[in-house]
Amino acid sequence: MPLDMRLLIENEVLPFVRKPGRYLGNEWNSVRKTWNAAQVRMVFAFPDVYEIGMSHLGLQILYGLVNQHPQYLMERVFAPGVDLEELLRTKGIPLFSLESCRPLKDFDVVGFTLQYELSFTNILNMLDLAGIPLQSRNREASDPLVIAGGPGAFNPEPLADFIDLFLIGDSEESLPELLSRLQALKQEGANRQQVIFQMAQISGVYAPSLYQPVYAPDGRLQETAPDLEGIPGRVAKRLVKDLDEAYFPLRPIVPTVEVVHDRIMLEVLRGCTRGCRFCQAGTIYRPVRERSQKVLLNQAMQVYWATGHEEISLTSLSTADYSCVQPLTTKLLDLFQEHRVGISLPSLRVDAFSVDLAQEIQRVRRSGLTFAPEAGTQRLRDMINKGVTEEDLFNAAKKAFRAGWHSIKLYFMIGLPMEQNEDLDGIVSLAYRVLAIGRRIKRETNQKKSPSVTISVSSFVPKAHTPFQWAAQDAIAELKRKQHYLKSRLKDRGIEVKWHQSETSFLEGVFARGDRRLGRVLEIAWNKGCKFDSWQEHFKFETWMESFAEAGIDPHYYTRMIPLDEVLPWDHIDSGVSKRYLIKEYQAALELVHTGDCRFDKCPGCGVCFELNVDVILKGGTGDAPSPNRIR
Amino acid sequence: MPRLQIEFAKEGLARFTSHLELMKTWERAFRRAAVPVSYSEGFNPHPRMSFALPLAVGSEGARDYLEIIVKTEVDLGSLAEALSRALPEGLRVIAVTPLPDDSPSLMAQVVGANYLIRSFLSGPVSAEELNNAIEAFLALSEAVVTKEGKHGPKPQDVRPGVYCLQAELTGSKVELSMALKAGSQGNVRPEDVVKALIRHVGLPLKGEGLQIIRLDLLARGPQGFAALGENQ
Repeated sequence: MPLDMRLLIENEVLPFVRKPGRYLGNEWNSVRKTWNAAQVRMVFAFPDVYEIGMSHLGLQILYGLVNQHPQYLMERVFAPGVDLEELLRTKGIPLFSLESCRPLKDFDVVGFTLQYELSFTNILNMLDLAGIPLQSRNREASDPLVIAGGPGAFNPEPLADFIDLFLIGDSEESLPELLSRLQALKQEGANRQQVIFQMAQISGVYAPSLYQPVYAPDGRLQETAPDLEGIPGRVAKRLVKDLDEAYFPLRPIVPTVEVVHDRIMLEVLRGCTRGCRFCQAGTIYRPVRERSQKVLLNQAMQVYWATGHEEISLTSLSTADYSCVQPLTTKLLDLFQEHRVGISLPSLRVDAFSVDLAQEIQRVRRSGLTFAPEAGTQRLRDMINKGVTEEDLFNAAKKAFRAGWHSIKLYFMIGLPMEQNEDLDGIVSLAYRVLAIGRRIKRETNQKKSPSVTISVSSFVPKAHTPFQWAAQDAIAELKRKQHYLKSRLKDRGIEVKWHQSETSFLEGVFARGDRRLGRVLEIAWNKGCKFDSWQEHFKFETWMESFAEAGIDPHYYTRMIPLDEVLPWDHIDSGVSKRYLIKEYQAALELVHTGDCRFDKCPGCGVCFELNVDVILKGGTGDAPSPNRIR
Repeated sequence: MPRLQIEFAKEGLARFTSHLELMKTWERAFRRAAVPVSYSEGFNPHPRMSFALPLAVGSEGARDYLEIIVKTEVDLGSLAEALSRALPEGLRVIAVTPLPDDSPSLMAQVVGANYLIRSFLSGPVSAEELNNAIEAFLALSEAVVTKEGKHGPKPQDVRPGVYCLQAELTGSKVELSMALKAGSQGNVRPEDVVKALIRHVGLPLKGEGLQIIRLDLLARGPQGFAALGENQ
């Protein structure tokens, strides 16, 4: 059977699709295990195309981790391109795993990663292509367990109808436990209900079918509580306490097809405590846990020889904050110079230190530099707790233009709470002043190339587990007005403005704070053909609005301002950061009060270290640690 | 700096690898095998390697070639061995040989290619009818087909570029052997020859789902064509 399936796919499917290399599963370092030798078989499902999925470090970590156990097997599947999907449907071929060309139904576990809300319809589409019932309650003994993890699992409710189990937090902690428990339960011949009940006892595992939301007559949520004895009322996230001890894939898969992030990813730290009040990652990945230089250098060398990549990226939420970033980059540059391996930083802070760092590692100024002041005025930057001043930005810009970069990209957000036209004017003014700095330096240094500034404007989306989770989201019309306002004032050939479609931001906002009732909308929209919603060419806003109407749900309910005492759909999911702290931060925002970073300032009392019995781990000691004045 | 010729096969699933992907794959294999490939100067250095002739996605290559420039003298045997261990499934080193400094690039030498094509039949045909059709095709002075180009469809006369053509019936398939013009002076694609056989002499071949194997590349030798690998 599998041999036939492989031949069928090789001869009658792959010759007719774009970039067939995405569906082969034979990349360098991919793992092909003997099917029958494995006790538990899982397929990692990424609900977007291969090029995006293969750029995701989490996939490589879990793939390596699970496959290092002889009794487990993990394969991969991605959302098929539109051309492949059409062929699969007309020929009646089920969605298959890449490595062994097996139908997804043959696996014990199908595990989705939830990286962004607008991938949810792809999950339904992939389940359907696999012939797995969409709704958990319609699945039978022979169907795989459908699980999901990643940041999206922190508000799991919109997917509660479709996912059997959610893994909250760092899955490298809970997944091996889940697989081992499943192996035992399989041997005992446990039925589906028993399996789900047993799994729900594993710390960090949330089984939505065992929790019932209760709504008040006016439609507001009253509680989401377990209806069985022995099931925890709240599910706390799992976390890796020490990154030096954590598993890291030393033989990651090297894609043959070019992917978005085609390079070695070294994870220098996890978590960020800068405390930007809009940022979900800043809460759910707390606290900061750094990896030591010694471990990183060793990993870099091993991964290089195992992959042959030409670039190493130092990844994290904010790599310039890594306490050993300077000595580490210097050592990496020295070590890899003879191999012509470049080092890159995915994100820079808005300061001169970051530009120095970029200058040191990027000997060739190929691309531009990107900074994220996020808001146009000091007042609004204080409100979101982004400790960046105009002076920081101008100093960074000066340094960058002097060092030979020609283009600077600035990230801003519109639609933030308390935003006024004056804040939009602030964006305009910053753009022109940065451009003026570039032009002045061009004249002074007789450069040929004209400087350019790109203003990338995204729309604020309130996210669960952040201090702004109660805030209202701007209506589509209001976002459009603000975009237009900016556009009409940013007219210079040296300035390019980019923005996000406000309809997409609206839908993202609905699902980001959505509840279980949205499951119906999701299914209706998928039925009407919605998929790849994050791709502008596929996004069907009208169809979405029809689907809300059909389900009898007003989407604006989910983008409104929520009273502080209202029960939230994700209240039973515990990030370790207390709700009391989030409220305090929300109020501090309204009062424009700054909250410090616990790495350099006093503990602001978010609660995560106490709650989850974990410590902030900084490897730099006092000598290398970034000084508080660099981290405002 | 020494020039090396690498003769290799691209087989099985590797046929789905595009030329661009293949270049990246070799570059990374050289790194994994610690082959001291020389890099170009400038802002965006790239490895000094070039292929004799790109191979289309979906086609296998039995004897393909690329040349590289290395920074230091290397032991060819151990280089071949290290490379073999560093290449993904479907790519196989056949031989690594030195190239004389003054020989023209492999790319400049290629004038033709031998192919083996297997095609399903779209209707019945006897061995005799098949041979007659091939003879009829070879007797044509031109055979124009519409080629899918980068800038939309355009006509091409493939006949002058067909140097040799034979066919054999094997069960439900036809096996075609052909020598075609290839290289920088002009290129005829085997799938276009199949198209021409359908269109101009009415051979009942299924034009799609072809199995294409490029058997060898041809250079101009002292007496007519010679296999590229034996032309040094």
